[in-house]
Amino acid sequence: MNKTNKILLYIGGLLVFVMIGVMIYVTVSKQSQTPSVSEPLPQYILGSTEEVQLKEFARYFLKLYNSYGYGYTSNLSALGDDQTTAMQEKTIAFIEDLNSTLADGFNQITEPDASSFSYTYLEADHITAMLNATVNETYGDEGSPRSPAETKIYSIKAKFKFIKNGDKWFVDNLQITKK
Amino acid sequence: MNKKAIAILGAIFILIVGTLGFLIYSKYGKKTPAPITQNPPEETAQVVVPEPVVIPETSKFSKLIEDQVVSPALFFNGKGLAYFDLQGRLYQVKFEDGSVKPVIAEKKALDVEPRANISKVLWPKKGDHFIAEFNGGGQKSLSFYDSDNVKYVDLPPQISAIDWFPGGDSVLFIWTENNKSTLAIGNPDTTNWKKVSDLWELDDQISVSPDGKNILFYETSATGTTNSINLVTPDAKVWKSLVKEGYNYGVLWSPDSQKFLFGKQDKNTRKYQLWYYDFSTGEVKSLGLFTTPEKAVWGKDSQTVYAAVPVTGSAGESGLTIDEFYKLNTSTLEKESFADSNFTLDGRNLFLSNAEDILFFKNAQDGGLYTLNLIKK
Repeated sequence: MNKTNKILLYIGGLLVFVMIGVMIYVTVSKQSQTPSVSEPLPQYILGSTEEVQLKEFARYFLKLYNSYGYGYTSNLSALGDDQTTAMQEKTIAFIEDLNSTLADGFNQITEPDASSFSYTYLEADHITAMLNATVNETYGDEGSPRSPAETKIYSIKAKFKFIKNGDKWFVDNLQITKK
Repeated sequence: MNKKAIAILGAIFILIVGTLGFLIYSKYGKKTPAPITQNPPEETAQVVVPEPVVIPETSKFSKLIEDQVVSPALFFNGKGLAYFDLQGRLYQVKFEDGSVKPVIAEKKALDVEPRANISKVLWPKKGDHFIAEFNGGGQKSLSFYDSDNVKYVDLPPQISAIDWFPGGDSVLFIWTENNKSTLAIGNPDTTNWKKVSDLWELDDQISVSPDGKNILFYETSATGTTNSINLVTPDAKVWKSLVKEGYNYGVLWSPDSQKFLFGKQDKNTRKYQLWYYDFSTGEVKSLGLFTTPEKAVWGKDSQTVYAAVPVTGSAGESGLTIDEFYKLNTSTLEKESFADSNFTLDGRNLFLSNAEDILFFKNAQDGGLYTLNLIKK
């Protein structure tokens, strides 16, 4: 091998190292820039007793809050002690809306599915919880001239926002959506 | 340069190109989206907005029911209507969901004893009972339909006028016997009644306000040039003559119980004009429409009135009329007319859909039930 070839080989070898270095740098820096979406955020965990209590509270609240009928919305106002002031205001508006829109003969019963309960607990005094339920909606009576019987059964998903005050959890928001 | 040098230079070139390619790919190449879980669009339980179905059509009017209907009335939830046919059979018609105009999805006869000669039904604001008026050979009679026991209860012939209280569980009626009339409140079958007061006249008609706090009454067969419209409270403590001048006939309460429409006979033409009485302001005025309260209906806002106004014939007389339809603002007297040369219409028993986008009425020309699409341009 003559001198020219040796110089070229040294240059080539040097370039290979430089380029490998550049590729490693690019790959590593790109990985560090990509947000790690699958990595869970740090989360609080309820104790087993607390979780059972919250689940039962959510189940009881949803069952009553979403069971009402024409001339019958007392369940919602009876839950006032379990709601924050913000939620109480929403409930009052909701009751007024129901009283003006529900048709004579309308009735609905909600049965939550406790096994569907799940929660996200990212802040010490805030919990977001999800609970599914089945709604049995009935309207009117068989033989009624202007309120004929109708039945509808459908599933809903309830998303609670709970806020802790002292040792007690209060419902701060409840979003109910049809599944 | 020898062959080895050329090969080394080539290898270096390929290496440089490959590295550059890698860098370019790293910067601009296909980006894999972050695995963000996206929930499907959710439908709220309280607000369900059906996809509108657009039905091309030229006329705002259409015929919904071919049967000759008696006293059609909307379901309380607005999703259908009930009516009697001339044989006294009670039918229910359910509308298709999600349609911009009423389309019949189902029709069925209810298990109610058919009674012929049915001429009118008084539907309560609530509940399943009703009172039917029959007219056989010029003889009027009244029956209460007890939906709990699924049977008619004939009312005594002494009942000369009757109207529901808003709860649908009691009635106001006039008992006329031996040239004496008594106003009373009782059960819908007139049992367990309580006297309100004696009345001077023997031919009064009565109308209870939607809030149940006031009663309007007027004579139905006065022969003079004046016929007043009067008010009494259900406890008979307040008596007022509200409209004293002119010959007045027929009343229609606004939903808020603060106003009523009445018919006043024009001195010159002898035709009835629609007039307006406002309790809160004391305002009494003509609405400029030659028709009667029987051919009108209030909007929920207690300000808008829809009316069928004869262009041929006269309202309040026994003959048929050919009408134009109007939407009128009772405050500004601004009005909008609806007419269609394809139909000959005599509007009776007007009522609105819950959204107030459809006006239903019986066309006395053929007895069928028609609709007027109020929002269609």
